[in-house]
Amino acid sequence: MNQHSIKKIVIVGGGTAGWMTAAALAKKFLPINMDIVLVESEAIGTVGVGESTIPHIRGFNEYLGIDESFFIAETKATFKLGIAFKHWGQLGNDYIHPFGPLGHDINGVEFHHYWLRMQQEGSKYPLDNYSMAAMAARAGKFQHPSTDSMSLLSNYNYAFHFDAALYAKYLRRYAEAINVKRIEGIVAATNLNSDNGFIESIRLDSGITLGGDLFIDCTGFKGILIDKVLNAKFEDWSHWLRCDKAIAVPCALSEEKLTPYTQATAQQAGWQWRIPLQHRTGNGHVYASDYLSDDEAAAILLKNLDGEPLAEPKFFTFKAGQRKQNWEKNCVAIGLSGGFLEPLESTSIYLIQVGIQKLLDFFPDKNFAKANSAEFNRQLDEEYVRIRDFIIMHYKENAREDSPFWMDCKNMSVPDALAQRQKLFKSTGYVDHQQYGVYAAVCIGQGLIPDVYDFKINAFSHHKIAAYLEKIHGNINAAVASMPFAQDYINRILANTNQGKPL
Amino acid sequence: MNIPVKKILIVGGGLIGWWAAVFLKKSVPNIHISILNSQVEDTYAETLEPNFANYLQLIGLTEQHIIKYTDGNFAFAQAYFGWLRTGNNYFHSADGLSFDYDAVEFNQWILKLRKNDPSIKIDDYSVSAVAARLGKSPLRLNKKPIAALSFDLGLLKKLLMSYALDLAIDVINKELLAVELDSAGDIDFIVASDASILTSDFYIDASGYTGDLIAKAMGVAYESWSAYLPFHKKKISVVPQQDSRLIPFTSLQLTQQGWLKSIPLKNKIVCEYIYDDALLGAENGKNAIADFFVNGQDVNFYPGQRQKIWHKNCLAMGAAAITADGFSHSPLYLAAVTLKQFMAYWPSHQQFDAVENEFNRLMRTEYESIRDLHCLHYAVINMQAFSTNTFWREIKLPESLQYRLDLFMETGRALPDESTLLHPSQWIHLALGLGCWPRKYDYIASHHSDDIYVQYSQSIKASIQASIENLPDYTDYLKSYIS
Ligand SMILES: Cc1cc2nc3c(=O)[nH]c(=O)nc-3n(C[C@H](O)[C@H](O)[C@H](O)COP(=O)(O)OP(=O)(O)OC[C@H]3O[C@@H](n4cnc5c(N)ncnc54)[C@H](O)[C@@H]3O)c2cc1C
Repeated sequence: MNQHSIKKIVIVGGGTAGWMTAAALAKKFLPINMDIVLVESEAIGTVGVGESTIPHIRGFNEYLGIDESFFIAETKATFKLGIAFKHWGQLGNDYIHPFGPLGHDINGVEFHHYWLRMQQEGSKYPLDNYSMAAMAARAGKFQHPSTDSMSLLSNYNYAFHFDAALYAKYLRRYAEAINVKRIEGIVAATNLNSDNGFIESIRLDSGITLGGDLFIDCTGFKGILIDKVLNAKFEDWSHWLRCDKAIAVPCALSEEKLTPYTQATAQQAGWQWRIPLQHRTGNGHVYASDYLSDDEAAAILLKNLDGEPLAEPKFFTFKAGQRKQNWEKNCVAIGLSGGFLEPLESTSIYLIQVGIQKLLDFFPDKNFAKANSAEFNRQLDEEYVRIRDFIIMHYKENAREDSPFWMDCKNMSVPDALAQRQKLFKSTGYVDHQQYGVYAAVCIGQGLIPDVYDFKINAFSHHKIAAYLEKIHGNINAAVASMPFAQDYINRILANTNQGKPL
Repeated sequence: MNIPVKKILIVGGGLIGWWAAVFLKKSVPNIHISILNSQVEDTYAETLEPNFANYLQLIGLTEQHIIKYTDGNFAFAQAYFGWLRTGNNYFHSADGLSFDYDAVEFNQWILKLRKNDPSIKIDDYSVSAVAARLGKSPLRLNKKPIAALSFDLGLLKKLLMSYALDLAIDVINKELLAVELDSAGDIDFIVASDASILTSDFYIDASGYTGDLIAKAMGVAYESWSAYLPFHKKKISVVPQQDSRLIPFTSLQLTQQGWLKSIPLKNKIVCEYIYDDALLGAENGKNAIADFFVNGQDVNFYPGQRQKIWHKNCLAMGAAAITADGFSHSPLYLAAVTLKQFMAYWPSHQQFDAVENEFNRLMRTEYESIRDLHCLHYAVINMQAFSTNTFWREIKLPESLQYRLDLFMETGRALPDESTLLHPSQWIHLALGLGCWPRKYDYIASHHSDDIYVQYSQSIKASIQASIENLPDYTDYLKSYIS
């Protein structure tokens, strides 16, 4: 440490973003005695949703050194192998965006080209048939991927569904145990330095004033700190992502066995999620208020529940977009304060993680070099835009004619880079691997089928490829049959986990 | 149906045209390749990037072939003389410097050490650089470093031509007379010097800077980089290698009027003087370097890139596509990389804009990051502010480089590179080696005290010293390597 080193970090907000940030920073700076304070207000509360994740969350827990079984028990988590998209692209469609590859690439040509050729030559099998993650998900099966990379049982990845409030609570205990100081209170004022506009301190409603070197804004949609230093510059993406409201309601578990995937069912002007946890199922309806009233939206949601609602429906209003700079001066916005993308691909918590990781990569000193925050912002923007475009693609690529919402989405113009990428996929089947997720699975699932397959596979006969595809499918079926049901698997883990074990 | 093109005509009988012919035929044996072996101005020698062996392999050549048949020579480093205000030289190598200490990257802890010890030189931490200085061969080490390869261009071309003989490549020994486009703007056919008509599915323009197909016929513009890379003249002189000791590194010597590059081969040394006309003219009479090049050949070159290197049914390669100053990434290397990427996007009869655009976008990213690496060489001269010539100060920096440098100088952090041809560490080491020391090191570096880094640094140097001692002399090594 020298005189320029950051010595005190103030985090405002105790939702998922706040406690994830606090835990990660505390862990990182354990060796050097960093002073970390978190302010939150029970009166204001958290957004209270955000329960479906992507596999990166495991890396985060691992970084913190959190035992997985313990985490599952504490947060009432279940396993997730992908997202099932129903009625997307076309009424009656049903495909999975799997956590894991499709088939195997052969001779440097990606699997979907082989599948495509078989379709052109008369086959009707869906692409899902060739994904371990998708097939296991449909069968309700789960076990940890094998470490033997030759085995099909290693050929998938997984994430979790969990109770967001329990996760934040758990991280709070973790962070407090490694010297994060929590202060209850409402931030009433943010004091800026009159010369350079940096945050000098915040004043709480109790009258306490808290100074710091670096301030992290995790105050959710309000973004009270970043708003102050940045003067509310927000980049609005709602012309592409038209859903601006959501209703969420938990319900009792269904009679059926646990489904190890998130369900995203397209409705007439939006979509509905279903996220099964150990003790309840989370449900929500994300919709565009220009096309659907709140009452209609609520009716649709309540009609499509597995079981009894367990609470009053909760309404949310939002706007897709991002703050122009998530890091400005000595203030960094992480979580909903930095931007919002609807939960269609369960990416918000992942974006929190990216923000934290990049903050550590670009950790400043008191000089707060502009070049440093500029690069942080550039990289974070890149990630936001990548996911934004991927989500837009789900809306754009559709052939539905049953509602004005979907027809308007089909006809909207999309960002140039996305348009070019879609054109390339349509005309050649080419996938840019910088892009998010299993890109080909979602394109094809939405109904964007390439016109041609890679000509390099013409060297193989129809018969040979057909036999090959059949073999993959057969092997996957056999592998899935050997797996336990996700429900039983979780029960076993819980039975073996000593709850309340100290950290 | 998607029917791939099966017939390709290469226009231009320079090294790059021949490389394309052999590479394509070897990679896709069932296509028809012809080459219009027209006159193209080649230079004398180039040095290939250390990983070029992978490309050689694809056409069935090895490093040994290059050394043996093209008057080839290894280069374990590129030596910079006169680029540093301290007067030190710097040996830049591809290997080493990956000595992270407990998650603290090499460049961060070395920065911290340097705060107390300004004499630190980063090339002391590279086996290849140390070996190159001492004229030893690091290729005998257990962990063999990768080395760059210098070769005689004419000899390599000959080698490729003899390969082509066995490959059923259609060689047309004529010049180009005219190019005809069809109504869609695609090349319809070309007319050779004897008025014969040649048609093909697809054309490769390897005709050199003039871009006879892509520019003259199809009108695709050239984007000049002269604001950033202002030199456009060089003199080339080839002198016999007189010393009995071979030189295992290339070198770059900065002068007041430009810079001098020398590429030592086995039997000769190829010297290029890249200079500014006006500056040289003014002091011509008393300039020793100018005297040396009195009988040298004059070559003009034009740094820049073709706006689109793939346009309709034509791909530009070599100087028709890109020219830089020659600090790194030789023209053949760039051509080989371009061609390999092209293989992944192979054209079909149904022309797809989307494919062309994507390919051009990717190549532009690559080319521009190589341009920026070149520009860094001039940027450091100004950052150290030691040249008296205002000429250097007028050289502009591309915005992308300025951005990268600001981040680096303020924080010691490297920008992740979108280019697949450059690793960020290469960039950092060159910057540090040429005297750009960032103002601060990462907070991570302060997790340990200087004493610990000093110890670590000494242990690295000691182990390099120990391994160097047992290495053979490079000249002896090469003799036994050939036999
Ligand atoms: C409908 C919906 C569904 C979602 N689904 C998913 C999903 O499936 N997967 C996913 O990854 N993400 C999802 N998200 C996003 C996810 O919920 C958030 O990214 C996550 O909860 C992080 O929120 P946060 O911590 O930024 O904000 P919040 O949870 O709102 O926390 C804000 C904190 O700031 C405090 N605060 C605010 N103002 C003050 C003040 N003045 N003084 C003191 N404290 C203050 C509050 O008390 C609170 O502690 C969803 C979001 C919505 C709206």
